[in-house]
Amino acid sequence: MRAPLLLAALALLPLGAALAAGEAAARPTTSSFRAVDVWVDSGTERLAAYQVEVTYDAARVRIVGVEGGEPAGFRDAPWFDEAGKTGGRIVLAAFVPQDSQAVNGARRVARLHLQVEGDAAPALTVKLVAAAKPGGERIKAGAVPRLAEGSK
Amino acid sequence: MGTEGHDLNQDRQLQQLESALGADLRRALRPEAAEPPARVDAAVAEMIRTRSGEVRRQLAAGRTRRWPVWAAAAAALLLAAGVWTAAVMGRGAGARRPDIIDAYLLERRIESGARLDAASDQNGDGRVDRADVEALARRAVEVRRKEGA
Repeated sequence: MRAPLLLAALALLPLGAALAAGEAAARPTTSSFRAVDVWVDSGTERLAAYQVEVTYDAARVRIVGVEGGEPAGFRDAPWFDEAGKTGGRIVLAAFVPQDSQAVNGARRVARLHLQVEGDAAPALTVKLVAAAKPGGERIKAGAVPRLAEGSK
Repeated sequence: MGTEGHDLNQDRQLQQLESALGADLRRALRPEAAEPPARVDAAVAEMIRTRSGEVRRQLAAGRTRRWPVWAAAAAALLLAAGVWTAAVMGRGAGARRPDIIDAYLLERRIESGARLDAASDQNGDGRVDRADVEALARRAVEVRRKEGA
């Protein structure tokens, strides 16, 4: 009498394990949305055009939106390639519609909205590819990413 | 008459003596011939041949040493010309990947009404306008996925 019950219990063990695994798989992983700003500092020169390359961990980070920056000349979203939203590398570029809108100093020129897997902060690098002042003369500048205010 | 004849005779004798002695004196005092002896002549000729050979060898060696300098200068000139040509042609043919500054400059040239060359026609539609600026900017930000990604 006990043997068939034991056998039935043993037969049900894999089913229980499978159900438990399915539940774990269905449980959503920790994911959050963050915003990261791209800053370009052209020092005393007025910035008329910039191009930066942003790299990120494609295994954890996906870009879900690209916005322009704070100065009027860079308020529109920069040029970028849609393929760059998920491949780990994206290039952003823009120039001011009017040279009078070129400004100097450290400026937020773009904002990236990210979907990040896991709790750790997204690690991004920003490299300046090119920058120019009004008239097109190339200038030196720095570029850095900063977590946007209010973004955890 | 006798005295005069004697004097005349003496004069004649003196003249003869003088001419005889003068000839001997001239012969005695005449310098020896200036022609060098044959052995001296041969030695001098040998020295000239030796020195000429040295000079010829030095000149030939100098030409040999200068050749690499000229070759290097010519090679450097050719290299510089090649680099310049490649740079100019590359600019025209768009060999360098354009960046946003190329797009910015084209935009400003279009705005200014400046004469635009056919190379600025990025999208090949036969016109140079803002669509070409857009095409340049898109090429600047184009991302190629890594193979296998």
